[in-house]
Parts: sequence; C-alpha cells; structure tokens
Amino acid sequence: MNPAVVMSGTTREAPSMPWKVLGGVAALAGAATLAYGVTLSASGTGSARFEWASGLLSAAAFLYLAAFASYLVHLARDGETASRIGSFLTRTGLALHTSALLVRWSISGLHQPPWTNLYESLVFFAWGVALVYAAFEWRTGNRTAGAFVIPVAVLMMGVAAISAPHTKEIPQIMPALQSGWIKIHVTFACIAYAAFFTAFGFAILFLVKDGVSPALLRALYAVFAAVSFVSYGLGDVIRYAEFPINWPVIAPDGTASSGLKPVPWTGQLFLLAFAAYAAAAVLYFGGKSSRFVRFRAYDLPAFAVGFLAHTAGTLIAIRHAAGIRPIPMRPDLTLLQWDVNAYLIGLAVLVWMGSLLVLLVGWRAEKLSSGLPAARLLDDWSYRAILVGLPLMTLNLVTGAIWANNAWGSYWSWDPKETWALITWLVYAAYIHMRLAGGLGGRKSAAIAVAGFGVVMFTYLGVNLFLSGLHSYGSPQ
Amino acid sequence: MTAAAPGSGMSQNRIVTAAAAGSHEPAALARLGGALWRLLSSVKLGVFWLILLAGLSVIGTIIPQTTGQLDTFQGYVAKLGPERAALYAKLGLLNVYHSWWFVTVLALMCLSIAAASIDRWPRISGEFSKDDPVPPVSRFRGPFARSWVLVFAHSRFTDIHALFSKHFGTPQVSRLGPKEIVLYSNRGRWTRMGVYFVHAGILTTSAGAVLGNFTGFTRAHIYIPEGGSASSIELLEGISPTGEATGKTHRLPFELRCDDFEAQFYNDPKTGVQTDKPSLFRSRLTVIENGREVLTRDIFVNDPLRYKGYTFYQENYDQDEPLIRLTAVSRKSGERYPVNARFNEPFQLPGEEYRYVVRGSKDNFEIPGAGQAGPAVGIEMLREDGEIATVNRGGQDHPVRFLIFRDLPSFDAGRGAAHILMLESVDQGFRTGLQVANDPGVWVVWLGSALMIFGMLLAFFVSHRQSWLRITSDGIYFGGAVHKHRLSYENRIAAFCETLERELPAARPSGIPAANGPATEVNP
Repeated sequence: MNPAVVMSGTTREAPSMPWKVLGGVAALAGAATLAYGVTLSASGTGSARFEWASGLLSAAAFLYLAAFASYLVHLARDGETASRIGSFLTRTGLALHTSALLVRWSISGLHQPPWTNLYESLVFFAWGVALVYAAFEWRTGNRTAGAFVIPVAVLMMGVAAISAPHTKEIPQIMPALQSGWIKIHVTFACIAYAAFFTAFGFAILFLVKDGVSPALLRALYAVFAAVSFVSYGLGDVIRYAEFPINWPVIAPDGTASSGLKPVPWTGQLFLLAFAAYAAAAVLYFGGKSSRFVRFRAYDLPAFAVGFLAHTAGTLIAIRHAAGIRPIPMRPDLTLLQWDVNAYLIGLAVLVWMGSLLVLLVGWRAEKLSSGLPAARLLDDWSYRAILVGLPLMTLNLVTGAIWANNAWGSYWSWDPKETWALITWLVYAAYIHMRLAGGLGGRKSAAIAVAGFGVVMFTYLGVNLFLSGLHSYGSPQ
Repeated sequence: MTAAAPGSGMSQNRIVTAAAAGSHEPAALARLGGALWRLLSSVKLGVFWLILLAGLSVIGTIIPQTTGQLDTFQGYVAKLGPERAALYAKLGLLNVYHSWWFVTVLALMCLSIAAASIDRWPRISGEFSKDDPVPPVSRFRGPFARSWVLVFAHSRFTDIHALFSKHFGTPQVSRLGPKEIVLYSNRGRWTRMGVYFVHAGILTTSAGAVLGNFTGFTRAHIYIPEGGSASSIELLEGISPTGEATGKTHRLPFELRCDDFEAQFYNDPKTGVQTDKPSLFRSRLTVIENGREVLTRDIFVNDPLRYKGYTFYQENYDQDEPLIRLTAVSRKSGERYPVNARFNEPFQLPGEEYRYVVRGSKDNFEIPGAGQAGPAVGIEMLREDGEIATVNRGGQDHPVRFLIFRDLPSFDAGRGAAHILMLESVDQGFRTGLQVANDPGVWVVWLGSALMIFGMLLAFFVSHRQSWLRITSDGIYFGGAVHKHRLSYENRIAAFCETLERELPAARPSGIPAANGPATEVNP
C-alpha cells in the first residue's frame, strides 16, 4: 500500500556508490560548462560565447547518440550496466544542453528567450524530450524506454545541426515579434507541444504494455510510411522514381542560379521502399483472411526491405546535399539550397526514425513491456498529459490572439498556423469529450493520442513546410 | 465511431419523421422532439461537430484564402479561368471561414453546447448541491471502502477526527447515537461547474466574434505622409461573387495627423554595416478634434494608439517625397514657426504678400571658389497667379529666387524680407502605413477566453471527493466517492490508511473488499 509503489509501478533500487559519483560528475559538468560559458566575454559581439554554446550543443548531441547506443545494447543483452551508462550519458548530455541554452540566452539578453526560430525551437524541443525522459527514468527507475525516446532527441539535434549556418545565429527579430506576449505565447506553445508529445509517448508505451501486437503496430506504421512517400520529392518519387534536391546551376555564360536535380539512386531506392512498406501492410492485413494467411509472415521481411532502401536512399541524399559547396559569388543561393534541402530530406529522416522505432519495438517488445509500469498507469499518464496540454494549448491560442491584436490589428486572422493550432485544439477537445463524458479509455483513446500528435507535428513543422502565412518567420528562410 | 453515430441517429429520426407526418399525433411529435433533443444534447454529436470543424478548417489552410485581398482572387482568375474562380468563390472555398456552411456548423455547435448544458443541468446541479452527511450503508462498500476492527473506537474520536481532517479536510460530524459517529467531508464540488465555465467561455467568445463582425471592422488601412493628416478610411469588406473588391469610405469622428515616422534597421553583427532587417518602426501621431490638438503619442508595432474605440496599429511604411524642415523667424516679433515643406508645394507665411515654394536641394552645395557649404535648398516666391514674383532692381525685373544653407543659419537675413528662413534638414519623407480597427467585440472575446481557461483548470485539476468515516464501538469504516482522478484519490486513501494504522496500532484492517484490487496492483 505504499503510495510510491502504486505510482511508479516498479520499486527503484538505490544506485550503488560508483553510479552516484557519476551522477554527481554529470551535474558538475553542466554547472562548470555553464559558469565558463557565461564568464566568456572576450569579444563584444558575444561570438566567443556563441562558439562555446555551439560546441556544447554538438557535445550534447553526441552524448545522446552514445546514450542511444548504450540503451540499444541494454535492449539486446541482460544486465543493467549498459542502461546505467546510457542513463549517465543522457544526464550529462542534458546538463551540457541546459548550459548551452542558458549561454545562448545570456547572449541575446533576458528579453529574448532561446526559442525564437525553427533552429532554436528544435534544440529547445530536443531538450524538452531529454528532460521529460530523464524525469520519467528517475521517477520510475525504468531504463528500457530510453532506446525509444532518446533517438527522438538525437534526431532533433541532428536536424538542427545540419540546418543552414545563418539560421543557427541568434536571430535578430522583426518589430512584430518584439512583444512581451510573444514570449509568453511561444513558451505556452512549447510546453503544450511537449505535453502532447508526452501523451503520445505514454500512449505508445500503453499500447505495447497492453499487448497490442508489434506486428499490428508495424503494419499500421507501414501504411503511414507508404503514404508519406507520396509527398517525397513533391511527388516525383512516385511519378518518376526520382528524388530531386536543390543544386547550384551555373549557366554557360557564368551566371549562377539554383534548380532541382535528382539525386542518383535515391529516387529508385525510395520507390522500392514505398513498394516494400505498402507490401508489408498488404501482407499483414491481407493475411487476416484465411486464404492468404500463409503469406502473412512475410510482412516483416517486406518492412525490413523497405527500411533498408529507406536508409540507403536517405543517406545518399544527405551525402549529396552535404556536398554542395557555396558558389563564391552567390552565397544567398547556397543558403537557399541548404534550407530547401533540409526540408526535402528532413521529412524522409523523420519517417525513417519512426520505422527504426517500430522495428526496435518489434524486436524487444517483451523486454520493453516487462520493464514498464502497469498499463492503467500508462493510460492515465497519457490522459493526464493531455489534461495539462489542452489548457496550455488554450493559453497558447489566447496569448497568440492578444499578441496578434496588438501587432496585426485583429485577434484572429485564420492564418494557416493559427488555424492548425485550432485544429490541434479541436482534436484534443474531442479526445477529452470522449474520455470525460463518453467513458472512452484504453486502446481507442491511445490511438487518438497517437494520431493527435501527428496533428501537433504538422502544426509545428508541416505548416511552415507546406503552407504559408503570417507565421512564415517560423520557417528557416 | 464518432462520425457514424450522429448519422445513425439521424436515420432513426427520418423514420420517426415519416411516422409523424402520417399520423399527426401529438405523441409522435413529442417523441420526435425528444429524439431530436437527445441527439442535439449528446456528447457524440458534440464530438462530431469538433471533428467536422477540424476537418473543414483544414480546407482553408490548403486553398489560399482571399479574405479581403483582391490580388489573390485575380491570381485564381488567372489560374482557373473567371468562371471556375467565380464558382469557387460562390461555394465559399476562397473564404472558407466566413462561408455560410462553416458559420452554420459553428452555430450548430453552439446550439449543441447550449442544449447539452440545459439537458445536464438537473443532474449536475444535483451533484453540486448534494450534501450527504449520513449516507446509506452502501457507501461503505465498493472500491474505496476500508474498515478496521478496533474495540471502543468511539473513545478515540478526537484522534480519528484529527487524522481524517488532515487527509480529507475538516468534516461535518453527525452523532447518530452514543457510540456511533459519522464524519463527512465534501471537497471540490465546484469542479462540477467547470464544464459550464468552459462552455460559457466558448459561447461568449463566439458572441464576441459575431459582435465584432457585425458592428466593427479590422481590415482597414491608411497611409499618412509625414506632416499630412487623414479623417476618413477605406474599409475593405471582401470580394463580391464577380470578383470585385467591395468597400466603403468610413469617416473618422476626428482627424489623425502623422508628425513624424522613423524606421531603424539592424546592423550586421560581423561587419557593423546596416542591413535591410527592420528593428523598429515608430510614428508620432496627433489626434485633432474640432481643430484642436487633443493628444500626441508615439506608436510602435506592438504598441498601438487607441482613441474613442478606434485602434491605430503601426503596420508598415513606404517612401514618400523628401521632407524639407524649415524654421521661419519673424523679424518683427522674433517668433519662430516650424515649417514642413515639400518640393513644388507652395506655403504661405503670415503677413507676407507672396507664397514660398522649395524647388530643389543639394546634399552638399559647392560655392565656386569658396568650397563646400553643406546642405542647401533653392526657394522661389510666387505671386497670386502662380507666376514667379519679381523685384525691380536697377530698372530690371529680377525673379525672386534664393538659396538657404543649413550650416549658415543667418545667411537669409541678408534678403531683407519679413521672415528669415532657416534650413533644419532635408529628410527622406515617409508615409506611415497604419491598420485601423474598431472592434467592440474584443473585450467580450477576452472575457470568454478567461472563462474557458478558468473552467478547464477547474474541470481538469479538481475532483469532487466525498469521504465518510463511520466510527462505532467495534470498529472504523471508511467510504468514499470520486468522479475522476481515481488514482490520486486512491493514493490519498492509501496515505490515510497508513497513518491511521501507525497512529492506532490496535486497529486491524478487516476484510478489504476484492473490488479494490487494481489499486494495489504492483508491477512484478
């Protein structure tokens, strides 16, 4: 009847001395890097501090990557050493990451928090993910979920790291954004999105714990992945088996411009991945009928083929995009190519991440599940995260409206970003109604929490990528 | 399941409608009314409206909207041809959020909210005002029930009362007999009203939006040149089905003058060179009412001027003719007047026969043989008929044309006219771009938003907890009821049990009912 046991689901054994020492080391590392960063004032422009913060962010990204590797080893083997190393690396990464954010904040001044453009918000988001995970790990003593959560932080740091150099600088913000309300507005948005992300994570963990078959999750994800390929290369992957990215073009008369040109092999590989993902879904769902049941077991090989083709195609595209060198006379063109290509490839990378996670879940569902708190706790945590998220989302909409009323002259103008924020609000409002008044719970509400997060991601990234509007300053250009 | 449910409800209604049309019986009508009411006030229909609104909202983010912008519509005409563009406009696809179907769904949702609020009121107000100090025995069964065997428990009343108060709040005490006492605590009942606050907030916000739409405007723009003023604005109302911008002129009940405009730009952090990224726009505005200056204020992008229900927002600017700032000093009185002049626009000084006009300027005037004399402007004097004025000197008519220099302020004193003109500066002139709004619904919208947020906090984070403790001569019996957040209530009970068993070691837990199994579930 110990309440701590009821809440956490697992009893947490006290860490032994060496691990305590390492935890102390992580905290000290964070504090020391912060102190050094803030006292750096060698140049008036803050560039020394800026370089220091950039270095810390790279270090944090690599620590998360190493933590991910450790958690993977933990999934594969028995024993706790690998997961403890992963935990230590995550905490150290989080300490450096926190320091980097504070150092960047010290450059821009208190009036401008470090989440004013897309690059900064990615870095901030990755920090939120690592923080929520570290808190979850600390609260429950569960280190199995690290293999599934930390790669999300790695990915966000990675996407941030390959962003165009000019977007990494501390932004000079336009007059419309110089308002007290915008800081409150963006802060609410960040926390609300983080709450919905947490709800999504717990919903996935709930589904695993509740015994949803990993094969079903994989087949559903295969449908999503296949559909996402339709948009790759703005449709060229499906139509012509080509994946174009933005390249510098130098005309015979020496004038430079930029144009879309296919990356060799990526288009074909992506088309193969599309076909394989689609096949995996068809084999799984088609295999439900008794006539085709003998083909059903081939869904995993099909998915694996899709994943390998997806991986190879993405790596080739990244290699080519990273190989673009600035044209001496036209630095603006290069910057444009960086931005466009980051987005063109970024989507493929995001979906790839999901495929990886789905494969990992399938590989070690038992181990993940057995280490998790009780299903009803995960369900309740997911629900509670949405209960926190919805008022924050409302505050986000209202503070955005107050700001818009002061800056643009009307509190609501149906700009795509605010409309999508409203759509997000409506989806979670529907969730709450189903759950509070409709008595819905368990798998159905978990499915809505997962789908709802897709809407959140579209509001956060997709709107700036595909739609245009007042919030265009959220895009990297 | 959510989308299908109202549909199936509607098909039932259709059958009922047919029956009612055939028989004209009042009972059938009542049944139809009841079915309609149940449908309208159902949670399923509410969820359906939410999802439908989300779906319809998506349309307007995919098709670029022509809310008051003619150019986008003309873009559609170019892309789709005039007929199809007009058809799209007619279907509301180019202005989704103000189309009849979108507004209808919004209105129906509000109707559903109102119906559900009325429908649930008896039950919810009952729960809200319920006070149950002496509950039936059934309250001491069920998932939250606990009991302990303790002989002469009633003699430990003071201790038990203190323990109960600590975990569940100060209770009402009912003495049912010499050896039977019931403690009752009723906490968080206001959470029952949370849903009413949220829904009242949504209705209020909608009402504010409607009020603003019918009585106010937000999309009006004016440009005022520095030194100029405006007393009317053009209101853009939207696009007519034939694709023309519709609008009308709105007269302000006062005049607005722009005294000054300033734009500042960021410097490149590396080179220190000014970039084209704006860092600040500022306009100095003066309100003039009945010829009297009422108020002068600087406005910035996030800091508008509000006056008599109108709000003037700094929106943008464009470049205008250069502005020549002069000072005229009267020789007689020594009085100084500032004069803002523009090229080729004559101005009059008091007590002078002729008008002045600035014809040209030089950034750095070169005096042959004497070097550079800094900024200068060339001025002419004009007669009534607009011809250049002349003076007769040495029997010849000379046109009156002269120079003044910024850096030589007393130069014009040699001219011998009634006023000495001094050049202060020749500035790039600007026209400040203001957006004007008059929206009486804004405060209603803010009120609605506040209600919504307050209601959510109340509904989500407070739970209505009723707890009973029956103390008799042979034992202690706990009963509880909670309508949400079971887990945290269970934790609260667990904490209470732990303290009770520590403080009263003689109390032995007796027969915990099987129904509370899940609360003790511990992961292996």
